[in-house]
Amino acid sequence: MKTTHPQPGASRPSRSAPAYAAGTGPEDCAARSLNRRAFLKWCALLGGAAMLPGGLAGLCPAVAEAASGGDRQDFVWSSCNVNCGSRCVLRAMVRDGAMVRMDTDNLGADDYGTHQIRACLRGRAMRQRVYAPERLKYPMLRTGKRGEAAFRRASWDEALDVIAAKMKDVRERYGNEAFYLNYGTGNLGSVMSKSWPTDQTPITRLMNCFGGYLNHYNTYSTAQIATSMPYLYGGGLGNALSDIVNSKLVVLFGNNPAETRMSGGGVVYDIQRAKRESNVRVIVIDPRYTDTAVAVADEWIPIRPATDAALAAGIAHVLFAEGLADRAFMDTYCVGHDEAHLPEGVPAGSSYEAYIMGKGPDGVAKTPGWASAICGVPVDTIVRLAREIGTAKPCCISQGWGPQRHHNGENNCRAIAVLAALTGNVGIPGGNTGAREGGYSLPFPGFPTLKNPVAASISFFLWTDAIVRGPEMTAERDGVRGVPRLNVPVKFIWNYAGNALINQHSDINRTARILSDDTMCEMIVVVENFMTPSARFADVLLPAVTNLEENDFAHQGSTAEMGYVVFAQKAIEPLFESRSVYDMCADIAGRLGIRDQYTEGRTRDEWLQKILAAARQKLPDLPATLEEAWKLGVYKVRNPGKPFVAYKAFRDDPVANPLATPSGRIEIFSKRLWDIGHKWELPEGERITALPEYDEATEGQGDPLRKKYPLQLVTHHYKQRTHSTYGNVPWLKEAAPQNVWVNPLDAADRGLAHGDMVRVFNDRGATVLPVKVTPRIMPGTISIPQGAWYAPGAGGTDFGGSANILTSLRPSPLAKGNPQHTTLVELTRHSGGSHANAS
Amino acid sequence: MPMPARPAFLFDSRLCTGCKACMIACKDKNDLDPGVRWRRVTECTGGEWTRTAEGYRQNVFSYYLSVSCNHCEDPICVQSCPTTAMHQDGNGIVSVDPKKCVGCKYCSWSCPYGAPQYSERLGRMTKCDFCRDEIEAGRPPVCVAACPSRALQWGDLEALRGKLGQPMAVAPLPPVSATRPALFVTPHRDARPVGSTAGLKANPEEV
Amino acid sequence: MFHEWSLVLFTVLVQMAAGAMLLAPVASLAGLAGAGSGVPAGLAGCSRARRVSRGVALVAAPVMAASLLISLLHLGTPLNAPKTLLHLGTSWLSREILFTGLLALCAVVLAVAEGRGKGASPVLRGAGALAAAACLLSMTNVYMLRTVPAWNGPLTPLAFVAAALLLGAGVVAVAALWPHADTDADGGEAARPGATALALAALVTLAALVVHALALLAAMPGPVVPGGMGLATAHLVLLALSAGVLLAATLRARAADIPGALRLAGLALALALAGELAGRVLFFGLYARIGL
Repeated sequence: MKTTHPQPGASRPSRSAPAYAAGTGPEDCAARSLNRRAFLKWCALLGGAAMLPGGLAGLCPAVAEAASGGDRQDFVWSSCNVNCGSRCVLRAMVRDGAMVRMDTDNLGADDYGTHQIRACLRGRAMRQRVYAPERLKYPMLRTGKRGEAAFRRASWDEALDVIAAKMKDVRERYGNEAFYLNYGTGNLGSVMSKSWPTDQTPITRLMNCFGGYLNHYNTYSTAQIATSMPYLYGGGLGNALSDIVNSKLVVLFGNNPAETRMSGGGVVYDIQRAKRESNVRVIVIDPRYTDTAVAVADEWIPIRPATDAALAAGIAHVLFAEGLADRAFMDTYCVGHDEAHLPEGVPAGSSYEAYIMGKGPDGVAKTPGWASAICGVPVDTIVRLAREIGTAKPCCISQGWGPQRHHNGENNCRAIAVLAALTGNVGIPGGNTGAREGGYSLPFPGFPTLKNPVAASISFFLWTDAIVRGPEMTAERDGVRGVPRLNVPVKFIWNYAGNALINQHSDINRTARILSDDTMCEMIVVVENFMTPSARFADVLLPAVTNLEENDFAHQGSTAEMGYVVFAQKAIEPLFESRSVYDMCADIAGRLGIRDQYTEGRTRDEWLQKILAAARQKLPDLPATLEEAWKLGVYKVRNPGKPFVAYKAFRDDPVANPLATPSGRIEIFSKRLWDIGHKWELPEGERITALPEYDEATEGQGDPLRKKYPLQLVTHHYKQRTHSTYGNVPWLKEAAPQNVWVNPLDAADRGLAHGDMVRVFNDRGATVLPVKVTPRIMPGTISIPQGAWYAPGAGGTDFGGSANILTSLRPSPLAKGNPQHTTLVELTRHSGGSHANAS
Repeated sequence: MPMPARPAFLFDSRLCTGCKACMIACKDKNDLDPGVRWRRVTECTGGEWTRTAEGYRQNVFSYYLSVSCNHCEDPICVQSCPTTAMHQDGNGIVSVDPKKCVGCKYCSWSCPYGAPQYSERLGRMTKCDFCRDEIEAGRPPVCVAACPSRALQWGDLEALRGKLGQPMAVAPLPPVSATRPALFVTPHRDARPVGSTAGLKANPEEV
Repeated sequence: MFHEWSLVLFTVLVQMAAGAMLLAPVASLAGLAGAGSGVPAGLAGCSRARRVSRGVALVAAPVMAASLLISLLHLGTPLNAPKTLLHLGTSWLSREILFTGLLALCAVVLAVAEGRGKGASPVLRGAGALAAAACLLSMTNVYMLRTVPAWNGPLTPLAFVAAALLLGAGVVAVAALWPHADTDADGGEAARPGATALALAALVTLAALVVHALALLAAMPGPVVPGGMGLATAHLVLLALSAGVLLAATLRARAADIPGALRLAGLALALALAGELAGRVLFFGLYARIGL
């Protein structure tokens, strides 16, 4: 590798230089504006003189547009490949090999459907990310205790030799099931460097060539909903949010596109546009008055976290009691809604109606009063909400991924979705399934990663358990899939573009203790851009390029009506000794004797060319060569049809188009879950129920632990970061400083004022950060924006504001997923040291 | 869009999610140091919670205002500047002549929008120049072009006046009469009138 | 809080000098009048008047020089300072800088003239007084910003004029009592005008104290200033003490204890200065503009 690249600081634009990049300097502009004025004059002449030759004058605006925007060849098309659900276009202005400005897709027309894919503040701050002082400069090997971040510089040869030797060693002693590819979404949506889905990365291909690895299923984002919804619908689809133009009412349970999918090309713009077009009434149900509530809601209904199933039950009670439930729909399309439609072999009183009306085994009617005591929504509000939902036809009931990220999340998300079935809103325009929204996308092939010969798969959340007690983990106790039980513990972890090794996993202190014992997991290889909290736990630390330093294609993110692909061209040469992950893997494959199998004789760019050719099979008008693609930058297609409606075919003809459930219907009562609930070994107090019953969560509303820790901590997605990505960017820290949201009532109880430093703690750990005293959060609930970089100080207290120092490793019953929002804590003024003490 | 005779901002507060893409696009284009914010997004939040027998009741509201320099028709910063460094050109664009500015900060005391932003590094005042280079080239200012919600727009002051009437403001903006800004604000549903103190600037550390 | 230490010092010191240069001619006139009671030829009165004029000039000149230097500390680019005179048309700050400069110039010329022993011409002294008045007027207007309601009321003129008068009176009192070889030949004769000046200073201080207290009370309910009550208390208590000490000094002067009166007058001036500095910190703390 060449080592001639300057320090990042040296390649940054000089601070003393004028604020104009070359080409847009004052002189330049004067010249351009002269040309432009002349051009416009010419246009006006043509347009004025010639009402005559049809079309000529009409052409002028388009031509003028091209003249104003298209003359900037000094921009390189690129993308922002992080895990927000969106995927934005960036255009890097490059001067003398350095990026001097980061623009976005803001050229040409902005017609909805092929509209500009405008990056959010994070993409716009990409320069400070690429040129961050935390960039890894060269490969490093651990010298101290694991986690202490004591490293020495190594050559690429030495680092890759160490990895290859350890791979052979671990395979020989434990077999391929001892290798684990940790969840990581730092590079999402690209083709050649993607870090997720975990079975589609360059490292996956390497491991598959090498004999395979222990799989995982589900994600930190969606464990409970992804597991749960298929039991109801056979899948988890939802209508596009653009479809709310057809709705009479929109009810968003914890769905917050304005803070989770911030791209001007994607969902937040879709919903705002649809709201503006139809002015449909929107209700947001959320513990926080979210920015979605600010921008599109007509009403905010605050709710205690983890109680959505109780609210849904209270609503269902009104629907059943007042005859607002759509019985005709349910009788045709559902199973288990009433006693007449229960599966075979199930005792009487097992239907949802029986559960709701107090005729089930618990004998408790789920009245609005019952629900209100749990969820904190006043009775009259529940009744009114139920009547609104029951009478608005069609009604879009939609949820985000917050309600499910709880210890009782599986039932929360299913209970919300069942409301859509009770009211007959499934499969129609203007309705929804109660799931999160769907949309439109283009088919685009990925990098072929071959097949994993290892069948075993664990929940993404139980990898720390697999390190400690792998061979004890079974299908019926730990949700192991593919095999009845694991054979070996995890001994070798690949952690590529991920911060879930420490920062984004739960219970940081316990995770750190597990990782710090290098006799358990013997090797951790981290492939990263920065010295992240996770990178500190590496044994071998490999510096990867950022996506601005390599060619790639970026497939679209979540959008309602537009499909697109970004052809991202390398904007600058790799900084320091950083390399593309494909090249690292190819060199490791060489050391393992499988290079040809890995590369098939292709360079990285040759793979891109091959994948582009494959993409053209499905999208023939894509550019043919990389050069043409880079010139085009972004390829957009507007959805030629109507907004996506989930399970429309099923609604139109349930017999011909059954759902992928055993009955082919919407299974409000799931016999499969009934069976699982009777078979699985669950800890004391946990249940898996066939109906979406409200179950009090561990560390939920009724937990006696509340006496000691009376506040429920949830986390929200923050403007500063996408999860933990961008967490080291000064501009973003300035725009959206880390803080904990606390209601004025809770703040007053504790004598706290806005801006005070506070200590948030429970038995698992403590973090120190400033408090934002705001009425925009439910009393009794506090929220820390997740993803801040863990910065341990003396005594293990975190001074980075990292929420996961407080969260629990206890998985949810069915999905074995992360209960990130069911965390009890207390809050006090922090009087000790400040950030200066950190590490 | 051709260079307007007198550029003005339009801000639709109903659409703003407070995302700050405008602010960072501006910081990136102009390479602004931490603490120097040519465009700022103010969160205005109010309402109260009360504990009742039936649970909590609340009347919380919140809205955002993205504000840079409004290139006022009656620019108090220009009037008060002792050196004439702060000046207004023929297009009404107010900017700082770096060769003249003495760094006395008097303009920033007087501006009711906090538009002049002092640079400790440069020892002088800096501020939004309406992206003169961009708009002369027929492109929108970068903040406008950045807005994911299309809440921020721009146009010609007189043309907009013809279309929308006189500029108006909402709390916590100053009354339009203070400096006659080239800023049209479409009020959020919860917007409070100018002078109201029902809503608080909820993010003082961010603006 | 609005931390502008250089401006706190600058405004208070300039106001002290300006007040003294405004009051010096007044004190001289008062001194002449007082001299009418049986003192032949008015010679003693002349010398007393010169004593005041000379003392004031010798204090004002270095104070103004120091103030101008201190004002440079507030600037980010002091090398551009000459350009601050470019906007006299609309900028009160530009005008303030002009008149402050003129005042400094007058003070220095007066001091040089007085230092030569012959005394400055009445025209020069008049010019100094005029510059002082213009300086005070422009300085007041600098802070009377229409976007800063707390400053854009009676507080600013009252605070500034009160500060100028009471500090100026203190300087005049000290100057009147300061021993000087040329003019002290007539011994005890210094006692009476000294006492008059002191009584006048005490009166001015008391009046200023009352005015200032009222103005502050009117302005305080506005923005909450951390430590504001402490500053207001310090301000008023120090000024009250200063007035009290001046009254004591008057008694000493009447008892012909000139050195004792001088010491007390000096103490009173120091107390007044401290009180005004506290008040000025509070004044800047009250800064809050309308809008964002």
